[in-house]
Amino acid sequence: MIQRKLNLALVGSANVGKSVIFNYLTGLHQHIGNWPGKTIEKAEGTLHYKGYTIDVLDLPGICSLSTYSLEELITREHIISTKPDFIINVINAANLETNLILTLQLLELEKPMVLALNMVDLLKKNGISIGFERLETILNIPVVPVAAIHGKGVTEVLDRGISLAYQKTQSNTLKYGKEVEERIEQLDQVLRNIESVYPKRFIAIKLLEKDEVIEKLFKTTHQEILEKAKSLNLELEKIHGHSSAIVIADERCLLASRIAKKVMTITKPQKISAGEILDNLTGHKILGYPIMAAILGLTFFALFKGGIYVSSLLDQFLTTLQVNFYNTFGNTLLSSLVFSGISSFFALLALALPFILPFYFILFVLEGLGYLARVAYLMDHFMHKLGIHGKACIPLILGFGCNVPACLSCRIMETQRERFITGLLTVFVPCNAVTVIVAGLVGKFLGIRFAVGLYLFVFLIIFIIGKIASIMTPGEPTELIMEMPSYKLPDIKTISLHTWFKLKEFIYVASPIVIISGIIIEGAAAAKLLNPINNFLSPVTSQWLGLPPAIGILLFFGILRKELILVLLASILGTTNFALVLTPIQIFILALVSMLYIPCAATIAALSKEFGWQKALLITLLKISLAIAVGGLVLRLLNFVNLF
Amino acid sequence: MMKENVIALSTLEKNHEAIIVAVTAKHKAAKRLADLGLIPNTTIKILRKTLFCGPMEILARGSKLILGKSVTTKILVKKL
Repeated sequence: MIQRKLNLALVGSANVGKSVIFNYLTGLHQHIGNWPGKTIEKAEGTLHYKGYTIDVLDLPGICSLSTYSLEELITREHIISTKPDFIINVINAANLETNLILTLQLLELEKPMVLALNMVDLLKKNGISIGFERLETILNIPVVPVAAIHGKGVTEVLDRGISLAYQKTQSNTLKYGKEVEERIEQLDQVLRNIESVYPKRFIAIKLLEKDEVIEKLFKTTHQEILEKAKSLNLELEKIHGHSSAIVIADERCLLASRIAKKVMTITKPQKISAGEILDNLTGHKILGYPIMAAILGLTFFALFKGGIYVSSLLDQFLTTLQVNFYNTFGNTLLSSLVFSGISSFFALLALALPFILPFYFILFVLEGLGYLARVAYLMDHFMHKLGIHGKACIPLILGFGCNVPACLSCRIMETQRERFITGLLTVFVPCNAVTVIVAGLVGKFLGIRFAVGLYLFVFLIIFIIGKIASIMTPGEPTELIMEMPSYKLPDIKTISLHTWFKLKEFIYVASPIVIISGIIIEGAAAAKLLNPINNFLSPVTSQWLGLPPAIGILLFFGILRKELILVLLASILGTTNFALVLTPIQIFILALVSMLYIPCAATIAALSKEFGWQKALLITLLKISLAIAVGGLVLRLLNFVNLF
Repeated sequence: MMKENVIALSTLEKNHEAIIVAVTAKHKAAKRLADLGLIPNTTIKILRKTLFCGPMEILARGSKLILGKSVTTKILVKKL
């Protein structure tokens, strides 16, 4: 009987258009989750094609098959353990030579594989032509030119992959240099009687590369294999003067280079393209910065203005809903608890739809264009002052919109150390809700000067925390090494799908804790606990921070949604002209404390998802104590200098 | 090959071309550089550099790469 169910895996480095192909194949039939126990995204989907049901897995973007990053290990283990019916290795045709290095490593796994040469539509513009058939003969696997953004070539990749799935895998005929091949041969001999899920040649090569995972396979049972590998490694190191792992990497690099030279011809001298002019401007050592400030500044301004408008529409709807709800169900304890759950969820939607959704969309557009890599490039120097590298800019920028996606995006950093420091810093970035408070309190009643001053002050705090964290967190900073993608038009379908799935993730992560804390706060109010809470907090709120005691509850509500501080302040003080009831210093201190005092409930949920609850708790406590300490000190300082 | 000609990549300026002589970065970074095609005898071109001697963008084997300063000081090159 013919097997009608297949599974395929997409493999490739970042910026090769792998996700465009994935989205082309699966559309909305996809599920984005995490690899079990890991904070690495796992995108799966299904496709019905010519009577086949094909499970498609988009493996994380990698540039090597070693085990230095979790992504690389996951990719390797997945291919070995689940044995996909075929692999699609997606590469950027314009970067053939560098991308072939990964292809050569994948070939070592000896699984059915199709090479999808993506972005061939851009080759002509770059003045490159590639002999696809020649490449196919050399690599001995199907090679298909693809322009995924136009859907060209994708079905051919599938057709050739499907026919490959029913064939016996053809062995790889590519050979490295003589010195290396001889040693692979010698290891093959000792490995002859070993049973393993890994191909023999792959094991031999990895032993020469001192791959820890492969070495572990033999640690207890076959010490003699490790001894043999060690002596061969020493020989290689003697010949080349550096680690045998680097020798193998060099060999692959040279082989890739030879192959590329055989199949690639430069058809015309390269002219300066529009992309390069753009590159020269946006990457310019001086102009690059004002351009970046303008792009990001305009984005935030537009999002903020538009977001507040849409958000107010949603609030109106909620008010109508509230009236209808109480008219229908009566004003009982139960109904008010239920409604507080509903309104908490609405509060979340009021954040998700007007702010997060367009924010993600624009971010993905900037990413798809290739602009975010330029931001990382421009900002690397400054980020290094905080002990992290340029890529950390992206979560920090996201943080201005909302801290939740910012925390979730810390996974783009390579190591746990970088992730944690970046996560810690993002929760100090004033999000849009905090901006509402600062604008509504300080901007409105004290003037824009003080609002800007407050922001600069918070940036200073972020800087100091970054400095301290980078000294205190163990481990060394990772160097910035990344590919710079060429500017290209982003694929709107991929971006829309990404935005949609990210929005779903946001609601999924944040809603339970937001709804529960909403009900608890309502319950506390119903149990007449608000005044006791105020009294309990008053040593801090009124004596140390010099604020009216009633503010205590506000800070309590603000955990749920920061802008509630501003909204409820009006109802508690009975006026929207805060200048009548609060002194300028009180206004300033309230805004400062609101900026610093606690990550909101949704952010705490995101922190604990990414870093575990202990670290989430640690960051939360750190913020609370910092807000109290800084607030009190600034108050005394302001009283002393008599600024207002 | 004269020893004096060997300089750190970080000292080069925009539009300079050079050939890699050695990579002295730590194992992990050296491996990653090799995976991206930066090995001895590779010809590279500096496309741009940021102010303050921060990262630089280079062209190697037809691909553009961004390298932070801590990496470029550890790649030894000969200027062409």
